[in-house]
Amino acid sequence: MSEENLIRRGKIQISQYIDTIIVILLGAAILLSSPYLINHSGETGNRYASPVLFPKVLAYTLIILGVMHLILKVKKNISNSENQQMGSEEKGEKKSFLIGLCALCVYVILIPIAGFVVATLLSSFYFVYYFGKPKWYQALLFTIISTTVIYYIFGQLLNVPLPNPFFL
Amino acid sequence: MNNFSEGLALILDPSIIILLIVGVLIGLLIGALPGLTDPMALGLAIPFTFAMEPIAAILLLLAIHFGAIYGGSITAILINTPGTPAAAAASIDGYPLTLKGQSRKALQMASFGALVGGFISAISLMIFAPILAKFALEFGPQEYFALGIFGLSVVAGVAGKSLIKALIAATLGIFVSTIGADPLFGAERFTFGNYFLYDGIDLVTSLIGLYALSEILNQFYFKKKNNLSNHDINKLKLTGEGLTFSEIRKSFKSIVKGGFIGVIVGALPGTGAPISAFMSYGEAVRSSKKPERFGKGELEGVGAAEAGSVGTESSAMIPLLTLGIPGDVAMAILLGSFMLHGISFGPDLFIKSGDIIYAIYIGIMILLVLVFVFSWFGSGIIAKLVLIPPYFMYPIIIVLIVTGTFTLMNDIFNVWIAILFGIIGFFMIKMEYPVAPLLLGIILGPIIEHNFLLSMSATNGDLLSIITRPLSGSILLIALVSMILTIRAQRSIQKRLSGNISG
Repeated sequence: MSEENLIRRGKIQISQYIDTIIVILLGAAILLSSPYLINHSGETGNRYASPVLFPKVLAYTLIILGVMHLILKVKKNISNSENQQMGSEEKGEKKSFLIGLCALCVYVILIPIAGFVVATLLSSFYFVYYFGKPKWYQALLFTIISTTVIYYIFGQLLNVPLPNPFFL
Repeated sequence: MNNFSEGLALILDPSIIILLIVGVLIGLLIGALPGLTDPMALGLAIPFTFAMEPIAAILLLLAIHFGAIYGGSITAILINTPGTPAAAAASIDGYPLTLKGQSRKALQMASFGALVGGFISAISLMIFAPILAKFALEFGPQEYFALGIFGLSVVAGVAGKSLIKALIAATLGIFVSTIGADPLFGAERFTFGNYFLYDGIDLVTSLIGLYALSEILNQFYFKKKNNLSNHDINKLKLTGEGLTFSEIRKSFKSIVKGGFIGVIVGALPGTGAPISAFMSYGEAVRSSKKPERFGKGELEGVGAAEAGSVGTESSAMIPLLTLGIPGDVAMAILLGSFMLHGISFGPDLFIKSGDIIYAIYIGIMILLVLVFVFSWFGSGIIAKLVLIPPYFMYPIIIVLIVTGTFTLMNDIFNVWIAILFGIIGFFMIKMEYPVAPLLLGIILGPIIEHNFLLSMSATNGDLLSIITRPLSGSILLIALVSMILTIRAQRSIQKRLSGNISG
C-alpha cells in the first residue's frame, strides 16, 4: 500500500472514532465540572436527592455508552479490516456550508444593529441568490413582499416587538 | 354531556374553523415536499400560536400534523418520491398506478384510506383515553419515573441503524434538560453565570434548531438535492378516471384492518406511522387471494398503507393525553406546545378540562374530513405547488427560524441557541446519530429527574422500589418489551425499504 493511502487510511480511522471520543470526553467533563458548575447556594438537598446527583448519573451513562460504542466500533473495524472501503462518504460542499453559516450569523448580528426590516431585506436577498439564480426583479420583489408579510404577521398581528435599529 | 357541549362551543368559532383549514393546507404542502418535515413545520408554527387560545393552538398544530401525514403520499404516488417516511408504503402500489395512467384513482384511494383509518383511530382515542386516565390516578412518583423511561423507549423506534447512538443522543438530551435551575432545590446548573440560562434551554428553540435549522445547514452543505423543480411538471398532473364504488368496496376490509393496526401500533411509544403503514400493507398482501398483484398497481395496497399510516395518529395521543408520554416526535412537539400554553397532561386534564378534551376529539373529526376533502379534490393543485423553487422557499424558512426563535424569548440570545442546536443537529445527522432521541431526552428529562428524586427521597434511596412496585415494575417491563418489538419491526421495515430501493 502506498504512503499516501496509509496516511489517508489513518485519517479515516481516526475520524471513525472521533464521535465516541467526544462522547467520552463530554461525560468526563460533566463529571469533573459538576461540583463547580452547580451552584448549591446552601441548599444541598439530602443524601438521596441533590442537584448534583442526576448530572453525575448522566455523566457516567455517557462514559459507559461511549466506551461500549468504541469497543463495538473497534471490533467491527478489526473484523472488516481486510475489506475496508476508503472514502465512500458522500461529499458535500464545505466552502458553501461555511459561507451559508457565516451569512446566517451576519444576519443575526445585523438585526440589533440595523433593525429587523433592513437586516431581513438584505439577508433574504442574499439567500435568494445563494440558493439559485432568479432574475433580479423576481428576487427583489420576492424579498420585499416576504419581509413585509413576515413583519406584518409578527409585528402587527402577533404584537411581537421586533428590533429597531440601534440608533432609534 | 356538559363537557361535550362546551367542547363543541369552543370548536364552532369561525376563527377555529379557518385555522383548521389553513393548518391542513399547510400540512398537506409540507408533507408533500421532501426535505421539509412535519416536526420542522410544527416547530416553526409554534411561535405563531403564542397569541392564540390554547385550544386554537393545539388544533392548528394537529391540523398541520394530520395534513403532513397524508401529504407525503401525494409525491410518493405521483413521482415515487415520498414526502414522509410513512408514505413509502403507499408508493409501492401507488407509483405503478401512476405509470399506468391511474394516478387519480391512487390518490383518491389514499384519501379514502386515510379517512377511514383516521376515524377508527379517533374513536379508539375517545374510548380508551378516559379509561387509562382513571387508571393513572393511582400513579405516584415511581410510576411517573417508569413512564418517563417508557417514553424513552421511543428511542428504539427512531434509532435507525444504531441503538447505542440513539441512547447517547437521548442521554445528551436529558443532560441538556438539566441546564438551568434544578426542579427541587432551584440550584443553578451549568448556566455559567448567564441569567438567560436560568430557566434552562427552551424546548421549542432546541426543536427549531434541531429540525428546521439543521435542514437548512444540510442544504448549505448539499446543494441541489431534493429539488423537485427538476421534475417534469407533466408527471405531477393527475391522470385517469376517479375511484368507483366497487373499487372502494373491494378494498374496504383491508382499509379497516389497516386502521386497527394503526390504533395498536400508534398507542405504543416508538412505533409510529412508518411501521404501521408497512404492517397494514403487509397484512393486505398476506390476506389477499391474489397477492401476486401487489407491487404492480393494486389499489387495495394503497388504501391499506394510508389507513395504517393515518390510523396511528389519534391513538398516539392516548399515552400523550392520559400520561403525558409522547409516542413519537410529533407528539413530543405537541406536548411542548401544550406545556407552553399552561396545559398539563394526565388525569387532571380529564377532570379539570373536559371541555378541552372534547374540543380535541371533535376537532380531530373535523380535521379528518378536511384532509379527505382537500386531498380528494385538491391533490392535483398541491402537487403543482411542490414545484416552488428552493431559492424562494429556503430564504423564507431562514427568516421564519430567526424571527420565530427571537419571538419565543424576545431576546437575540435565543436565536444563537437555535443556531447552536442547528449545528449540533447537522453534525449529528452527518455522523448518523438520530436527532429525535435528543429532543425526547430534553422533553422527558425533567419528568424523569423530578420523579426519580421524589422516589429516592420518599423511599430513603431505595432504587429497587421502582422495580418492585407492581405498577411501575409493569410499566418498565412493557417498556422493555415495546423496545424489543420496535427494534425487530424497524429492522424488518429497513430490509423492506432497501429491497424497494434496489428494485
